Parts: sequence; C-alpha cells; structure tokens
Amino acid sequence: MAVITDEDIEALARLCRVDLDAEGIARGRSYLEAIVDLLETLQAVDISKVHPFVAADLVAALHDPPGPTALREEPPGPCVPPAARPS
Amino acid sequence: MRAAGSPAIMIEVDPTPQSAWTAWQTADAVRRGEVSALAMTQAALARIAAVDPHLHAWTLVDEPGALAAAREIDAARARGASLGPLAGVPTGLKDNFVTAGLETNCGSRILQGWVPQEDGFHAARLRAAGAVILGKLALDEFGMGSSNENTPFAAVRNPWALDFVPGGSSGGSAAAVASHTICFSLGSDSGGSIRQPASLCGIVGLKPTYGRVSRSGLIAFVSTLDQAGPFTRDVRDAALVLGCLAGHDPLDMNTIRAPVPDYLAAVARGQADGLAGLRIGVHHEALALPGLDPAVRACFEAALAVLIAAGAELLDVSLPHFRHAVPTYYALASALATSNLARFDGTRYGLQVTGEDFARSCTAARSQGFGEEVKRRLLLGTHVMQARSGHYERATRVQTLIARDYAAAFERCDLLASPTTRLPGFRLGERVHDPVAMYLSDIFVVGANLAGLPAISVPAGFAPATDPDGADMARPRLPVGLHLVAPLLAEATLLRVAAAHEACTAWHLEVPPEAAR
Repeated sequence: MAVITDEDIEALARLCRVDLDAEGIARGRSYLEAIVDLLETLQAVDISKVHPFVAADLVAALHDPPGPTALREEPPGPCVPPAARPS
Repeated sequence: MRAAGSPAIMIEVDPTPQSAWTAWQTADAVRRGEVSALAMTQAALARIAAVDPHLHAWTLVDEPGALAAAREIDAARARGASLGPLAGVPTGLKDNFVTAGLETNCGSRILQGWVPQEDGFHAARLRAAGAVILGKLALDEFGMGSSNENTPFAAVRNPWALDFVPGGSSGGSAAAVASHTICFSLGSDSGGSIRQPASLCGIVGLKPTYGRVSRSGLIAFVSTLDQAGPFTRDVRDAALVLGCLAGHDPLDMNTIRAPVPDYLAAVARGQADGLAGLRIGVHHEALALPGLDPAVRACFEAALAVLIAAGAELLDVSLPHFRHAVPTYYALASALATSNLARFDGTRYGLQVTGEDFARSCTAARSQGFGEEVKRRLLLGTHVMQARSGHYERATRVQTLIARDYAAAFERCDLLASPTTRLPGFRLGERVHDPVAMYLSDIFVVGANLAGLPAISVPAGFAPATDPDGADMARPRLPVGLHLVAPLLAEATLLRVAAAHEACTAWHLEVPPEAAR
C-alpha cells in the first residue's frame, strides 16, 4: 500500500494551484493511495531495454514525405545588450 | 421523479420517419429535394425539446444558428449549387470542440461563459460539408471520466435505461445519436471516450489513427492521445463523416500527410464481398479478464461467429502487456492533463475570482472552477511528474512495450477483436466513490490510444444489466459492443469488417425506448 501523507497532498495541491480543505485533503490522500498502488503494478514490467514511446516519432514515421507546418520560422537573433535589459 | 429501476418514461412526441434516417440517407434526400434541410432541422430541434429534458445530452442548443444554416443549404440547392456530403444533416459536437459564437466550456465551471471567436477545424469542416450544427453536447469535465457523472451540470442518462450511465467522456454525443435526436455527432477519444459510450448506447463509435484527424480546435486533454471521431447509427455514416474530417491540417503538425482512402468503398466492399482472406486476432488475455460479464462474452462470441460466417479466419494472439494499459494510461494522461490545464487560471478564460494578489486569484479560480475529478487528476499528474516517483518515465517505456505488442500481433493478423467493455453498463452513482473500478472500465479500449491505432465499437447484441452486490433491482436490457482495432492508418480495413458484421446482424436497427416513444 502506497504511503501518502496529508503533507504530500498539501504540497501537491500547492504545486497545482488548488486549495483543499481538510476533507479534500483526506479524499485526495485516499484517492492517491489507491491510484499509486495501481501505478506500482508497472514496477513488475521489465523496461531495461525499452526506450520511451513518443507519439511525435510515431506520427513522423507516418509522414511521407515530411512536410512543412504552419508554424512560423524563429531564426535566432542577437541577444539584447546588457545595458538595454530591464533592471 | 422516477424510482430506481422503474420503466423508462413516456416521451410525448411522435418520432417523424426522418428521425430514424442516417446521415447518408438524410443528405441524399436533401440533395434530391425530397426533404428540405430546414424541415430536418426543425424536426431535430423538436425532438431535442421533447427528449432531452430526460437525457441531458445537450449543453447548448443554437436554434437560430441552426435554422439559418439550414436555410442557407436550401437556398444553395435552389440556385443549383452543389451540396456537400453532409448536406442538411443535423449534428452536434462534444463541448470540447471550439465553435464560433457558441459557448464552449468543456463541462467545467472554469470555462463557463467562454465563447470562442472562430470555429475549430472540426466545426469548420462539418459546416463546409453541409452539416447543420444544432449545438454542443455534454461530457465529463475536460474529458476526464467514463460515466458523464464528473460534471457540475446535469449528468447525461442512457437512452436505453435512464438509471444507467451513457458512458464517457463523450456521453452526451452518444446519447444524442442513440436517442435519434441527430444523425451523427462528434466526440473525442483519449482513452476510449468514443468507443466506450458508443458501446453503452448501442451505436457505432470510431477513433481514427492518432494524426489522421486534426486536433486543431479540440481543447487539449492528453495531447499525445487525443483524437476526434464520429458517433453514428451505422458504419456507412462513420465512413462518411471520417472522410469529411481526415487529412493533413497545417494547424496540427501531428496530422498525417498520407492520402485519405475511399472509406465508403471499403464499407461497400465489406457489405458486398464479406471478409474472405482476412485474419482476425482474438487476444486470449481479453477473454481471461476477471469480471468479464458472461452475457457480454456470449455476445462477443456470437459476433466472432458472424465474422467467421462472413469469411474471416480467427487466430489466437497475445498482447502480453494488455493488463498494464490502464495504469500506463492514467500515469500519462494525468501528467499531460496537468500540463494542459495549467493555463486555466481565470486570467484569460471563463471564471474569474479576485483574491488578495495575482497568485491567490489564480488559485481561487482553479479551486472554484475545477470539479472533484479534475482536482484528483491534477494531484495525480503532479505526483506522477515528480522525478522521484519515476512513474512518468516508466509509463512511457511500458507504452512502447504495449505498442510493440500490437505491432507483433498485426504481423499475424489484420485486425484485433474484443468486447468493448467488461459489463453492459452500470448505474448512475454506482462507481463514483470507486475511481479504480471506474478507470478499469476502460481496460479494452485504452490500448489503442497508447499505440495510436484506429479502433471502432459496433453494436453486437444486448445483455441484462449486471446486478451490483446482488441488489434486488430491475435489470434492463443494455447494448453490448464489439471492439475492433486495426494497424496504423488501416481505417478502411476496420470499416470493411465492421460493415460486414453489420450486414449480417440487426443490432444497429434496435431503437432505445427514449427514441421509440
């Protein structure tokens, strides 16, 4: 059983910018313990020789030929001189 | 108020014959001038007014806009202009698709009141094809759910039994089509959100290959898994709508440049020529799954018999990492959702709350704007992304193994088959306090998302509702789906097999009580 403390939940809530009352913290802890137990089942999988799956790789492999996108070019430019930077 | 398990309520409306028409029948009739787009739209609006107070599938109905669009189509026909493939066909979009002038709130208070300035890709494509957009359809908040109960608004009900969920997260899209208020709808599928509700509502739900349809204008939930697709009442309509949406979109760099096949021809081939020469794999891990309802299994085996009779060969295959798909999905989906939802803080969209300073205003808006399930997923996603947990990286590697399993299976077979869900459905409220049980509802469908594969759920029979904990409750007859998964970009094969199955069965012609009355 995963051990999640109230302090863990409070820290996570701060990071994701939501306020939780005492009841919300308790519910969050109970939820996270159950789900983390589910995620821990992945520890049984041998991933020693596996690379991460990246959807962009999958789609790129399906592009024939790869083509341009509508994204604008962002050529690198000179840095702002130190004197011109806002203090 | 209705007692639990009591019969479905009477709907005081006479369904017009047109309400049972499919999209292709409607478009044909409009093009030939047998019916006007205006008449179809008015009939659909009347049915929504009569049926939807019991279903809650629609979050917004744009009557003036729909009538104006229908009149434009009729005017175009009158002046001899060519009409699109969906001319005059009433439709609706899940409320996470951006629509010009129509509030798009993703089923969340944090976006309540947000009205986009322009159509996203999907609304624009459907309008260009002649479809008449009647409004927006309910969903679990930001697509996070399998039952449509995760919403600050009214929960959608299943047209087959009002005490049961329609599935999720695209439950409104499924219920609206199943109840014959519209011919087809659009949903989005990140972890089964088209196929699971299609199964529970007894209709066709298609998730294309990741990148086959643009995500531009689909509010992001899990960017690497999200995909838009249609809900329809027959396979031909699914092919028709997919043909209108598929293809490269310069506004989504992940859309695929491969040519779009003639999906309607694939359907015709399946209907006319059957499945001779096709090998369909059945992975034994699916049938060995604990909790698979015997009646669902019986429907699945009957569907396999239909495919064999149509000429297909069945093979036993293995997906060794099948049971790891659900935890892998929830690790990845929660992490990506946490990232995607970081921008909703009350400064640009929707709910605004004034706090003591900027940071506290953002926190207050998010605290008041997000619902319980979204907050849970944010906690999980933030936990998963912490390097010390190691969950995110491990999940991306297990995802590779899952994709490899599918690739190995497709070296031996053309398609994979399984039930869409373990159970025919579940009651409203039955699983809201057990998120793990809720998440495991997706066991048969999430693998296709993780591997980027196209998949479809088609009607494959009916089963009595499961009796939770031996409770002495009425057990209505609920739909069961057949789930088919194809290799990357093999939607045509998927549609061919689905059409062959449909041609030999009549499940898709069954009408739920809410549509028949």
